[in-house]
Amino acid sequence: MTKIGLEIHCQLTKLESKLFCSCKADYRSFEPNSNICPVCMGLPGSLPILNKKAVEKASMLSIALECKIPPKISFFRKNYFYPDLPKNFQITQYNAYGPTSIGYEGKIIIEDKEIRIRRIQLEEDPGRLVYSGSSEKTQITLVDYNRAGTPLVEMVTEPDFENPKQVRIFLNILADLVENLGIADPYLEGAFRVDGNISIEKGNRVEIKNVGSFRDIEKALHFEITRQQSLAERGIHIPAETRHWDEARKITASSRSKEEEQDYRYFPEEDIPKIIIEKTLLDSLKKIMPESVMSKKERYINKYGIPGQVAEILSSDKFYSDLFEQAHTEKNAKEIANLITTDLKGFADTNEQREQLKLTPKHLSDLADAILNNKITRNSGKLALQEIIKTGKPLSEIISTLDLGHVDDESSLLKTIEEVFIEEQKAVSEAKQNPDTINYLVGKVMRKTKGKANPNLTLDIIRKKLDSQ
Amino acid sequence: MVDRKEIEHLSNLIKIDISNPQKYITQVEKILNYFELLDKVEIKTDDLIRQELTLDKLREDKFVPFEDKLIENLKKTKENFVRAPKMV
Amino acid sequence: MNLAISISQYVQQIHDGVLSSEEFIAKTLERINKVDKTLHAFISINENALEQAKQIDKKLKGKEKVGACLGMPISIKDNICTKGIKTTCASKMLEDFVAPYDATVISKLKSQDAIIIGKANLDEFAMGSTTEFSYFGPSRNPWNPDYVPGGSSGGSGVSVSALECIASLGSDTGGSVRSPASFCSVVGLKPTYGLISRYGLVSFANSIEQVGPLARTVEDIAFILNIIAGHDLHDNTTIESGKPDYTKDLDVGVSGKKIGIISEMIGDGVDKEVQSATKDAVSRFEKLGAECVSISLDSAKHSVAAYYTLASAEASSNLARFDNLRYGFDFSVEGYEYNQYISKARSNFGPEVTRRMLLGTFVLSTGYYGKYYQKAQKVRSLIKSQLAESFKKVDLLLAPTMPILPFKIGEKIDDPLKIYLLDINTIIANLSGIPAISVPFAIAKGLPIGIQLFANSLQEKQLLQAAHALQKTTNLPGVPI
Repeated sequence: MTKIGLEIHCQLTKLESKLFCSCKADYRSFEPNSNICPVCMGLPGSLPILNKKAVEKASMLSIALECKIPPKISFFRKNYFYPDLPKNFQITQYNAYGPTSIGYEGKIIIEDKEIRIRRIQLEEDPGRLVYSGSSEKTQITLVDYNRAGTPLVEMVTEPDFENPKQVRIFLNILADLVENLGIADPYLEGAFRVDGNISIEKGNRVEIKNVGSFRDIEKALHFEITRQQSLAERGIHIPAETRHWDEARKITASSRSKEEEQDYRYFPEEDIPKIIIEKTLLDSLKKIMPESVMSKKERYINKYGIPGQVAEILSSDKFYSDLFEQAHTEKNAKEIANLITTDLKGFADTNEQREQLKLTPKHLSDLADAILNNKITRNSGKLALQEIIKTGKPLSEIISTLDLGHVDDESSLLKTIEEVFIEEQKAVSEAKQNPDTINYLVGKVMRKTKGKANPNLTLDIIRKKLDSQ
Repeated sequence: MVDRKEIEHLSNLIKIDISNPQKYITQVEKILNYFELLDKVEIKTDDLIRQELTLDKLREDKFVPFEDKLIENLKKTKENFVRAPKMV
Repeated sequence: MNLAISISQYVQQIHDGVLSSEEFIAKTLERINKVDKTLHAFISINENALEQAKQIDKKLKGKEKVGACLGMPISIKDNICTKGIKTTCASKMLEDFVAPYDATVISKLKSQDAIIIGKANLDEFAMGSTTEFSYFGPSRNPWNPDYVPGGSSGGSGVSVSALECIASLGSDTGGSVRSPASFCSVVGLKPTYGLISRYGLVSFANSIEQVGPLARTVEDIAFILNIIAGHDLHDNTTIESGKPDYTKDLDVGVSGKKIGIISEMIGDGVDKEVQSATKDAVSRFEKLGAECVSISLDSAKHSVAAYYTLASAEASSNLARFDNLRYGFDFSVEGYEYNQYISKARSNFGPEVTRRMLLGTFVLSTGYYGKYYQKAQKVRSLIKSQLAESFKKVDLLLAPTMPILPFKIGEKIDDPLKIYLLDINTIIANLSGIPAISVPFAIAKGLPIGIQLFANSLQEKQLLQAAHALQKTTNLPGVPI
């Protein structure tokens, strides 16, 4: 069985300042080394000063991912040497000596699959290495520390993913979530970084790093699975290693082995005392947090009787659920849910489509009511919806323009039915014996009326007619 | 416990070239032996006493640029980058 | 004009108009010129000191508001950042480093119109007890220049003792303010951990160290403490202390106080002169109305091992930033690969720093973390709780600051462990965070002996009162140089 786990680094781009100093959190518009101070440069004598909002935002994320949050959180030092690390250690969180990071043992459900979140931790981003010069010989390494100290949350999942598609769905949900919670804009360059680890049956665990955009991770994972499978088929051993995603060649390649296993010598960061996470804080955060997907889904099922599958789709997409919330009444909730999750498909999937959508909540509500009140059939409703999306015209106008009105009028229906009875004499005689053939006759009527006939009424009249014959 | 290999391993972790590891081997070993004293202490509790802060004592999330152009005080290139040695 | 005046005397004379800052600074610079070739207390001198003094005198003449320090000369241990003046930590690694900001304690002194007269010598990165590990050469004891002045704040102790300044700021990690205070016959205070901002103090052992003042009288210590103490937004480890006035009620004495004499610190291994001085101090306290009892702190036996484990571990991490890429000394990266370059650059650390980095790396490494680092943390907690228990029985604790008299330069330098063991009396204050002070008490064989007092956390007022009472009973000779 294939097992995939993820490690996600998400910058808290919605914060104003860095994790441990007051330089700007979003470094993207600065000239090299102009968004720095003694603290983020790790100058002698400098000390880290923790950002309150970072703790709050990370707590919200932990709550949203149903994580446990310890009563006190701590920070640790991860010690290693690299030019982009001004102190040659990173201030991060670490749970090996007990749970002290901002969240642990959480979960998220995607399409009925539970993905366990091992931990969520706060940490600082290092600076950036820039290479200048073309050939390996003349290349020089330049460092820009503008990003050093930018606040990150690192989220690590258990290897619960079974295929790359689940990974993609998960990442989309996670990206929506961090946007929703006002934590980050995951689409900013470098703001949402994903590393994966993957093993196929009987194979070793391989880490994949350096996947540029989170949309690329699915490609990288597919490639890696194929690579591992072909090795396995030929009886070749799959070594445990770290590979990196080569964007240009669209392959994973073995990373040059980094000397020996690094010993990071984690120990407590004593410049930052333990931070008490009070229950009152968590309660107040829960109040201001937008409702969670889980909670929405439960509400849709329990309050409106919306079927599970439909509720799942509706709740996990903010665009859909917002539309639903604004459009529905107690009466037409189920119908609107249906309309959104079935008929809107293909018309409002991409950001572009959604931006251009002329559909309003009122449209939906009117449409749902019209269907429920038998003013138009569901089929007609589909057509009306497509027209609304294109033109944004009010429903009443569209119904008359496209002549979508229900044929409710018994006499005109009777006329059409009699026509069908004449045309389908064989079916009529069969229908007397075989009740299924009645549906065939109903279908014929629907076709003749271009879908406008009231199906229940049609069925009624046909039955009565058959009985009387 | 402490041999040449260990000193080499440590000096590699801490990134210090040591020209005469032999001197350090003896000294470090002697001191580590002294640290064995710690083993003799009976500790009954796992609780460590550490400072604690509540959230309200933490820094407000505000952007305040450093008042000077810091890079001018540091080693830098003309374009204001810091130059690192070649990465392998 | 007498350089051997206290801060209160200086303040009085300035107010009386019989002294100007310029005169005093000029005389001080003259004195430095005369004695520092021998004593080597300073790494660098502030070239603008005289000009700054003139500015202050101008303000005084013009009846403008002038800060409480009134232009007095203060030396600063060279591991505390001073904007525009080099901060070298007595190391080749920071040979060219000029801090672009002032430490909080420096800002506070400057805002009170103190004049930074120069940066004082120290053991490299504050690691040592004799100032022999300075990259710029040792400082010498003004009482006998062949002898060590104590350390690591040796330059601070020497400059105050030898009248090269009126007070100094040092740093105390394992006794580094109290040791030179004791060996140089001045007063040195290690405040409660968290009372004074460490922003700008170059980190060596960040969970343990504190900036501490040195001066010739306890009163002067209180004066400086008033200026530098207090919560700082730049340092998350500072605590709210309520900002008491430490100079107030200094004279209340010790009548009715209970003082515990730490039995483990006056027995074996203590020079007989030190033992006799301690007995003398105890009887003086009793005459002043204090009740002196014997108290045992058996966890003190493990304090040196715990301290050096933790301090080395923290040092190995705190000094990792010195890779000479962003600041440091002149050494081009051209032609080097990264690991090669930084390992070569960092080979410029002195032997004591290197030793501690190796030790620190070892005790934190996989497989050894539990045995050394975590165990040391637990011992530290044990010491904290034992001291807390003691302070339920007594108000103050007493012991000699150093177990032995000052010794000759070079005498112990080849045996690091011997030097570590000199800290045995001072370290419990650092590990637990409680305040401790060394008061100059006696001279034996021409060499100074200091007596140490400890109080519970944030009890500086009580501590200073007892120290002041003790110092008033002494009548020590002036520095012979």
